[in-house]
Amino acid sequence: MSTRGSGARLLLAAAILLGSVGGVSAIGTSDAVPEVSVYTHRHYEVDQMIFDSFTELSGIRVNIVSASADELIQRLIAEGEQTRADLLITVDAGRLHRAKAADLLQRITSVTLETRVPEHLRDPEGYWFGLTKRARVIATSIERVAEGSILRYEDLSAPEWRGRVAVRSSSNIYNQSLVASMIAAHGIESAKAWASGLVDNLAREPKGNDRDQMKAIAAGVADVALVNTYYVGLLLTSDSVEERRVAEGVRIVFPNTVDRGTHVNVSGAGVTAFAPNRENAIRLLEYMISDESQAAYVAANFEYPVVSDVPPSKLVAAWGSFVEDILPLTELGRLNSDAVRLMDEVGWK
Amino acid sequence: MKAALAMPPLRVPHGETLWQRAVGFFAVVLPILIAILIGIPMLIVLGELVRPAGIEWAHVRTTLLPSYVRDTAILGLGVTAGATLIGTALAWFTSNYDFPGVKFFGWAVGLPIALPGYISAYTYAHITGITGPLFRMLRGLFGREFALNALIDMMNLRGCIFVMIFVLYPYVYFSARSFFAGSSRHYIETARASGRSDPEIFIRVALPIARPSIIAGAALVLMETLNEYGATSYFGVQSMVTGIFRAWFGLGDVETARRLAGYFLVGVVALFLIERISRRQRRYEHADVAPEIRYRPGRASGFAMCISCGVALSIGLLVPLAQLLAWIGRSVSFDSIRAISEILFQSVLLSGLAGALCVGATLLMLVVLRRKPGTLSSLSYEIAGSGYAIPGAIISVGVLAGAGLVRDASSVFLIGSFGLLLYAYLVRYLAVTMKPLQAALEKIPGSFDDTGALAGHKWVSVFTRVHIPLLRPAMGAGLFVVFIDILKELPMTLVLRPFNFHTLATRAYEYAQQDRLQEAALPSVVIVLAGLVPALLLSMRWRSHRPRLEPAGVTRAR
Repeated sequence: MSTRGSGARLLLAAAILLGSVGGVSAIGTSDAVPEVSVYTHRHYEVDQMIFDSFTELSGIRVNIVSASADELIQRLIAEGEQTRADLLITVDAGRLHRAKAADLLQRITSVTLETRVPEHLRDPEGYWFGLTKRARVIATSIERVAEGSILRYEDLSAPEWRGRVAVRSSSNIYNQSLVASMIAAHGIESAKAWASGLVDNLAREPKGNDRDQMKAIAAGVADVALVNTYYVGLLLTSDSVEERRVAEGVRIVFPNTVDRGTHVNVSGAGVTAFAPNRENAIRLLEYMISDESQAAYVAANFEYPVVSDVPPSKLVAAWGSFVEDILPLTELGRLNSDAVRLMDEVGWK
Repeated sequence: MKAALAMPPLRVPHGETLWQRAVGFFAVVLPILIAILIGIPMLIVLGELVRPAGIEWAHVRTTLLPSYVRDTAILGLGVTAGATLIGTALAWFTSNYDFPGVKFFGWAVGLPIALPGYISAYTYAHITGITGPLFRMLRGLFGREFALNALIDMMNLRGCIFVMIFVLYPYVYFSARSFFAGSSRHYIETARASGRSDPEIFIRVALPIARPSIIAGAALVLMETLNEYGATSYFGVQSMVTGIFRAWFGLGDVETARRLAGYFLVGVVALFLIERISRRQRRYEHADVAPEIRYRPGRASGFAMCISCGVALSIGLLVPLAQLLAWIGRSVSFDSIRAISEILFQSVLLSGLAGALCVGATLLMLVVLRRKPGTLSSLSYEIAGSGYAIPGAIISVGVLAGAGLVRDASSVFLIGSFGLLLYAYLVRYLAVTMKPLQAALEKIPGSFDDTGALAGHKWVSVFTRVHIPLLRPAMGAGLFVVFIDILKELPMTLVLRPFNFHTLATRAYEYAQQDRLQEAALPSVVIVLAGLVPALLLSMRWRSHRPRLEPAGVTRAR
């Protein structure tokens, strides 16, 4: 094998490669096809299906970048006025609140959106709108916890549950927004006392996802757990017998139906401040809350529709209807850092 | 012996051609440019240390930092020690002994590197959990009560260390292996000829000589460990990177996140500098290409070597792979395979291109370091090679901020281009090729440079004709590791990618995010398969680069 001069060639090739990479610029956007570009934190297949049928219906192409909302927000900040993104989709209201506060969204007036999306599930000024709802519920062991013995989130800090509660990390946004709703309901000091009591009651260190909390119940490690309905649905429809067994062993309790209602959060969307395709973005947004799309979300993902005349899926409906906390979701965004600090202080890992 | 094989004949020079001058010019200017380019996102991170602290800093420092530092230290130490031990031992076995299966293990034992850490973590949590095969089997055999009591909880700090050791030891393996298989053999053969026992040779000869390579691999393991977010957060481990993301995502304070990353970076660079200074006095230079000699160990020890390779490969890859394949069996469809094969091509192309970039940039920087090894150039080299210490998500914030500045200044819009994505890869992954290549370069005797110079060669020409050919094995290893790393890369690809662009890793992640591991299994396995091809190429290179001869009394490798 000859090595003569190949080192020099390699070095030159490296130099050319480096140089040419510097020259690669963004892909051109100036073609005739109407389009709308989406930054989304929702990685679900059903979203792609909805985008596809939107394209079929309207002729508008949907471009996608999916990543976590926090990172997409940084990208929007860096892009400024030259952003190609028209719509930001997140999986909680707090992130939308943050995007609005950073002047990354714009106000939309749409009769369709305003009449179809309930008031507490959208920004009062029209900067963002909820798309789907998730409820944070208490899963209890059918075997070891009598029906009716736990009715409110507040009960989770009661001494009778010492060593029996499973919950995932406080890094999880749904725990953060639940605590934010507790702050909204009771004030910081009471919410802190509650969180502290909950930490004392933990059966084990917070870890895993919501699915794992239900597995902890099945394994007898814990008796009650905080979970999202989405995960219960996933387990119930799993093609593994063992996983279905886990879900069948728990009872779903919608907390606080006796007072302020069960905590809900939404995944939602807002049109970006410098959207090049503003009108298309609004059309897509309206399409996402059409009966057709709402039914598709609900069928695929065990989420609740934001539109009241679309029924939830059969499986979800079987858990029963519930009273929902109508705290305006902007509050969750406003109180999110307070919630995180509070959880840090009481040692909720 | 064809010892001079790797050294091409030096031509008598006759004046400097334009071409040589151009090469000389670029060789000087480009490394400086690279250092500056790489430095920008890091400066943005480091700049946070001298700016007023973010609003949440006081809170993070008092309530979180102590426990994060503790968990980070235990995790980093545990994984690095374990991976270094295993990686070094396996590299020693496979390059020195003729034990059963050595040919297979020689290339296979490095493959766990292709399995993303968080996928391995999820898989092990499932296998050992209440819905996993272990529980089902125990319940079938001994009843439910027994099975419940026998459940091992992997989801904690210990479990995390365990899982990560076995996906990360290949970093040390590749680094040490390209060394053991390369040019250190003369010392070892001499020691052997003077009647030293095998353990003695390993501890007193091989280890001290191989130290730079082993440390280079260990450094990669450490940085990879400290940056792991998926596995640690799933297992409830509070590492530094958890804190960084908590400040950013939870508290919405990206400044505090960058500040944490800045301290982190300073700590890691300091660690590397201390290590470098501590071994400055000891240098072992040797660059002959040694014959491939494998000794036949005793029956028991040969068996033990075979078993240890098998165990490492099983824990690192085969066990999780079996579970992933079982999941694929349940969920695979024609459509999913077609979708993945489309992604496979672009994923491989991107990783290959980025890998070539990293190797190229490393070489350009090494030329200068070899020529002018001052404190300043060492330091700048050390910093350029520390991007790996910063979490990818933080680098992408720095890269985005940099691109934002470029946009303001020139209206050149880079965000969402492949160029910017490749640039981010370069910032983060340059260390992967730098550390092992530098270790390999240090072994090449300075006398080679002098000989070249005496023959009238410019230093650039000495580098291209002498050093680069000798660095080939290390280049191959570095290219492979960085290729796999980028194949697995997540946070930067996710946020910096162009519209409608996917890689295998982003696909796997999107499913895993939704807690749909069955669907995540297919792209994960394809990542492993995509890593298999370069792994095979690499092992063939190791073989083809070594001349063979058969000394009396020893067994040649089959």
